[in-house]
Amino acid sequence: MFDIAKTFFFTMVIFVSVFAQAATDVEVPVDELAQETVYPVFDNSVSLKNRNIKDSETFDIGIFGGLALTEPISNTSKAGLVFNYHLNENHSIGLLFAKNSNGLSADAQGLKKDFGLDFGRAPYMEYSLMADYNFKLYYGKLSLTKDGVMNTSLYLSGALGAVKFVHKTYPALAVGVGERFYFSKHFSLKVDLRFYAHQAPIPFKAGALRDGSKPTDNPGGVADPVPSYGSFSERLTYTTNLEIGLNYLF
Amino acid sequence: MSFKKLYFVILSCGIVGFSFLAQAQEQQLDDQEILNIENIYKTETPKAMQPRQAPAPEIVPKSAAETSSETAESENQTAVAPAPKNQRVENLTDLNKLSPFSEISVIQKKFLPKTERFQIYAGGGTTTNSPWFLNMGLKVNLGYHFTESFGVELSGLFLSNSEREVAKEIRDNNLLQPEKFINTKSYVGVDLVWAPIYGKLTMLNKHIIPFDMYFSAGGGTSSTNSQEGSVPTLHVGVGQIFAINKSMAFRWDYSWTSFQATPIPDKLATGVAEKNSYNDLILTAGFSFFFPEARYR
Repeated sequence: MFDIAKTFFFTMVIFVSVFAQAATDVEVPVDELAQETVYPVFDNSVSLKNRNIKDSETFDIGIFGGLALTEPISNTSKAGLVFNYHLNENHSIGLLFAKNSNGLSADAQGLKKDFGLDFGRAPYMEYSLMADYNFKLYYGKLSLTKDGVMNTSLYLSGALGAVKFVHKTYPALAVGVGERFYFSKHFSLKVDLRFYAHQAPIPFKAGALRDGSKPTDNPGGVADPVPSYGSFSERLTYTTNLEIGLNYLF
Repeated sequence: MSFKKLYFVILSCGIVGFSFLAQAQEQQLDDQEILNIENIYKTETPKAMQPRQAPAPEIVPKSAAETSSETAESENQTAVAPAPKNQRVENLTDLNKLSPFSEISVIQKKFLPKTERFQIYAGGGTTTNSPWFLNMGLKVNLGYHFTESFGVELSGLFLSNSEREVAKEIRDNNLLQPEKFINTKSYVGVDLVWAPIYGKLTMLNKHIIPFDMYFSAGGGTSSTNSQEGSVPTLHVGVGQIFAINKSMAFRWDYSWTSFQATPIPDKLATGVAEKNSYNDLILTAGFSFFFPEARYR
């Protein structure tokens, strides 16, 4: 049945739309207008609405090279692989494997040359394997000479794992700070500064290192007997490491 | 025909009738102008024509200094090509005379302007590559920024020297004199500073922090425990400046210094000490203060 109420409603809509018109301008005295700018304050401010690098629940793999900057005796260079899973935009966990180079540091080579001390007899680190955690505190973007934009992330890192010496394995702890520079949504340059702490053999063993080439304090130039790796005493050792690598996010 | 159908016929006629009566806003364009609009992006635009920037004439008048500095800043930020001629967009068709920007800067404004300002930096730090000594110290810089990107900086670094465990061990066990290993006591130099990187970070999506990233290169002299004492030194650095406000910032700096020096011979040394190259990697962090107050923005 025809609804007379609907008929009346539609008719009124037609008439109202015909006679509708824009609101007239309202004149407001200038002195009543706002004279100051006030920034709005939001209860729950969000700085970033849409990230270019969406790394939540993603993986990344990478390679890196590094230097043990404060290592006095062993070769300071190393290279490694890193694998990370980004739990969300602020936290990631991963694995870090680094293989140390063989040989002696520049200082140890100088000590051998000048004083006949052969630190090649001391135990040395072979590799390290660490579980790594990153707290991605800062995320942002930067302009490179105003010609392009790349994203960056600053983070704190903490790692637990083990360092393998030639004769023994020791638990290790590392803390540090790092920064990623994203060339694209997948590739990034990663720089890490880490401070390692772990037990390690002391390479400066008395009566064990002289190779007999410098007889000044060693009448007759007799070489010390080659010690076993296990005969070196141990202590807690701190090492500063600088690592630079390339990562792929997927 | 039912009453319902009759009603909808009348209603439809009414709508059609009113739509004939309705009219758009009065048009002032003729057909030729419409064609010009359609050809806006087909027409080759003259290079000399640049879009007007901020044409609003109601801007509060500024002092000459403000205008000058703002203009300099604008040029520094955008490096816009030749000054625009007195071409105004009076009509819609004038839009077809506009040309694309010859250069568009990625970031137009800076929270912490540096141009023609001094910077004082004071930070604490340590040498990160010294295996034998723990070098803690203070770094003080005074810089002047000619532009947002370039400046010069006087730098002073003063380090303490205390032996690490390994130095004591090599003395006790191997009878050497580690205090004669080369170490740096201080460095004074001057650098050219180039800051090509500007950006902003969000801290846990709560706060925005603008920052600069710079590179510095220069030279000076290092005070060492070598035979020469003070030695000429090359310096290269990198760092970031995180703005706290328009006059203060947090800054970290990672510096590499390189010099040649001759160590004092150890009592066990048999030959003549040779001159060698030595490097220091010094990490410092602290605060920078900028003055005078920014005159623009």
